[in-house]
Amino acid sequence: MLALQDVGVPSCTLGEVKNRADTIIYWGSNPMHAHPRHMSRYTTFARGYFRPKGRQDRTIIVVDPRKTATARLADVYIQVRPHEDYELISALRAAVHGVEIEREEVAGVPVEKIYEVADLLKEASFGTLFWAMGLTMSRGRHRNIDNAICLVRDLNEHTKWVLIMMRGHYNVTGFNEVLAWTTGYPYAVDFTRGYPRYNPGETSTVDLLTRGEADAMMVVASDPGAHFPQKAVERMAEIPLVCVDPHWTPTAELADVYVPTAIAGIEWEGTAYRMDAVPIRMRKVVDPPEGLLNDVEFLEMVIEKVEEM
Amino acid sequence: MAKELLIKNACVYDPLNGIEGEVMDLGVKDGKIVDPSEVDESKAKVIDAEGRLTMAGGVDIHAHVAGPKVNVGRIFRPEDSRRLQVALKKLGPRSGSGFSVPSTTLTGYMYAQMGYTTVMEAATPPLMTRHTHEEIRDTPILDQSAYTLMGNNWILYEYIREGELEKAAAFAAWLLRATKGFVIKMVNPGGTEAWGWGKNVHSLDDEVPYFGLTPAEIYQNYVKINELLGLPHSIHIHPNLLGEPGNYEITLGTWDAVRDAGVDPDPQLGEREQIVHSTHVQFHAYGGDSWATFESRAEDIAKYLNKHEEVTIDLGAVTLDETTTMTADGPLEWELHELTGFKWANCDVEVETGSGVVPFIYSPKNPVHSVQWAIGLEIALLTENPWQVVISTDHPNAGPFHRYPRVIAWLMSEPYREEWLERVHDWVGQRAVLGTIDREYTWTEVAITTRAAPAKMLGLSDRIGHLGEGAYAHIAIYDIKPDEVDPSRDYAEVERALEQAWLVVKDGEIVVQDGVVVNEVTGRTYWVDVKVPEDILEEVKKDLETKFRRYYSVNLGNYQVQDVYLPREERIVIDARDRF
Repeated sequence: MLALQDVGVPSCTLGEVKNRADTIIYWGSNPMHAHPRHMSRYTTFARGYFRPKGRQDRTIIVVDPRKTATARLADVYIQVRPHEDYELISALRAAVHGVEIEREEVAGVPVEKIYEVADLLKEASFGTLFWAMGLTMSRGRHRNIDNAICLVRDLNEHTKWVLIMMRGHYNVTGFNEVLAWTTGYPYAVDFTRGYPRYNPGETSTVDLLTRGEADAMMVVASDPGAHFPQKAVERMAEIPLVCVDPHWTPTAELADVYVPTAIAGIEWEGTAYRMDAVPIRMRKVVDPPEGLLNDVEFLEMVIEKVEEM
Repeated sequence: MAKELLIKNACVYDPLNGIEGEVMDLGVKDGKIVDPSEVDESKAKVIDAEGRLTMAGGVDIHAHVAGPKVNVGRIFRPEDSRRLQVALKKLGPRSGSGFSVPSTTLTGYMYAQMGYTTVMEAATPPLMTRHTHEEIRDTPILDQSAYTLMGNNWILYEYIREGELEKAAAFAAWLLRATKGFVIKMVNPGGTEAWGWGKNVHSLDDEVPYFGLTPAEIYQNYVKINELLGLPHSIHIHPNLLGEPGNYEITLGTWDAVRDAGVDPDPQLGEREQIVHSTHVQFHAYGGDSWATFESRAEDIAKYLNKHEEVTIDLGAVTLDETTTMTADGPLEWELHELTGFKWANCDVEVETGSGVVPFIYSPKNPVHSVQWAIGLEIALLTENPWQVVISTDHPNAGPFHRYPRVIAWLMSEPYREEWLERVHDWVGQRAVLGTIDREYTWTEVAITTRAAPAKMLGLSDRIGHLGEGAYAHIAIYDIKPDEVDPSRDYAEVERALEQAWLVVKDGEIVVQDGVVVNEVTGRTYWVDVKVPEDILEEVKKDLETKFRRYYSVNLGNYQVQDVYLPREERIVIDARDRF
């Protein structure tokens, strides 16, 4: 989020990759394990309008410190030294611009290989960069993404390139979308002054918890107990915590009140936004266990109570 | 809330009913305008307008207010949201933020504040239209519709290439139903598809890569489809080469190409006279062959319009603000990024379209921006027939919609324009003619270009854009008395009054009082449900099963927007079955 607010985000829907992409990079991303249907439905193995032979029509490049299951499928595997992604992206950008790199290797990758890959990228007719936590959670964090986006942007001076973030959590994109159209900001919105305010570093949930400012917390369909930094989770344990979730999670374990809800897309209908921001209608397949509410019903009851107070 | 309203002593401008500044009473019953004598004064809420300016609720024929690219603008421009943060109970019950890309609540509030009650979302990518409807649902007060992007659709291209015009038309009807859309929208036809490969088209005869069609052929087939179906609105086009010096030629050529298709306007609802609506024409009226030789060609554009009533336009007037550009014209946004160095968002949508978003700062010190500012006003002032013109800023591309009052004040006052001519770059004097035009819009012309004309162009003038009996009771009353104010001299007064309506009625309910939203009603969503011959539709559906499997990343069964996304639909049924 911070990166795309800095430098933008040239992207596309997954069907564009399926139909057009002849060159695909997975950077710090292992879809074979994390997104098992992704490569066959949308990218590597999928047959598309301009890529009728599927896998044979595509060049797959994987950048990862570990030789993952995805890396083993790649035409080109680049073993980057851990935490040196930023350097490697910068070197690739330099090579794309035809600048001489006055070193023998960058981030453990020989310079000749960097030039070879840069040529591959420039020769693509439609290239797509997918990245995931391997890039966002290594040293440099969102600055890595800044640089990766700039690489894709630079490549558009030569040919067509786009990027898509391999987002993990179910419908996290939908949360960003809805919050943005209702408040103007995608996350970390503070309403204490009566109007929406956004200042990550000050107003995010982790900020409020670690500073000890939040004195109560309600979590809906999320599991910060499993993902937040320890200091934030410690604060969650101290304060009144309500967890609304279909599943029993580490957050539920910490909660003072746990409200089980129906699962959207199985026991209830709704809308979910895919990682490429395509909204999908989720259908109800089976009835929820008797007496179980869905999120909307529960929250509407809470609002009703709040309005009574 | 009273079901009946009686508004006394309103100074009414209602061009569709030939009323020009007559002080009269208006009756409202069950959400519609009725003869004042039908209102039971003892039960009704009675309001004395004391001679204030009164018009039908405003109609915006082209704005980007809801949907994926608008939200990209919000997500990636927190600096824009920070420019305008509105607290609870300030403009209305809820809070919001955003100057050029306001949040949905704020969008509804700020339009209503200006007396606008109908705002059409100008471009929705079909695959992502569920998102557009989710935002429309969350936008209070306004009646809206989504224009379905079709200008770069592979399935239409394939049918047209195969000479299957009827199948193409049946598919267009299917797509309007699938997206709950209202208009066949075309953006840079061929160019956005070419952008899938990082390319563009540069003339009407440039072939679209791999599809063997030219933009000229695409226009001609689409206008035939539109009139075969008999849609309320015409094709709504954003021509090729937006924003490029010298592009006025391709604009005029495009209009010629559409006319060469040889079809007449044939709507099954409404009385529109145009076969093509060419949007944000300011961006398409440029002379010169580079930024150094850039100049206004508004005179050529207006001369053409004066000869051809079958072409209508909206302005896309530049307001000289910092704003956010967003369009389905993917290659254009890349050009803008290259030009400004500002951050660039892009989203190509499989099979259908593309889009881009880039911030932009229009500055009165910049020579090109200054000339752009002049061009928008020149086109409005040089086009003789106001029924061909709609005031717009292509929100937010040329400026935010909440600058409409200023644009109107510029058009109504030569002295106000003179004041700005002093502030802008000298190029306006040398490369534009604005300084030589003394025409000033009258209140009637304002009512035409902000309500009556767009309602007529959309085919909805039976229900909106006027204050005759039976019309939806959308009424805007402004705190200005036309018999006491000279807009030419008192332009500041005009701008202020139009920014904050004194009273706005929507569907018979008071929604704005003294410029503040007092009541959030749910707006309706217009869409066209076109019936086409069953046998042709069945063949198309069979084709779609294969095409969806091959081209799309979603299943056919998951593609169509469900009814639940439109809490208050206004389905316009068009029966085109015996027109094929």
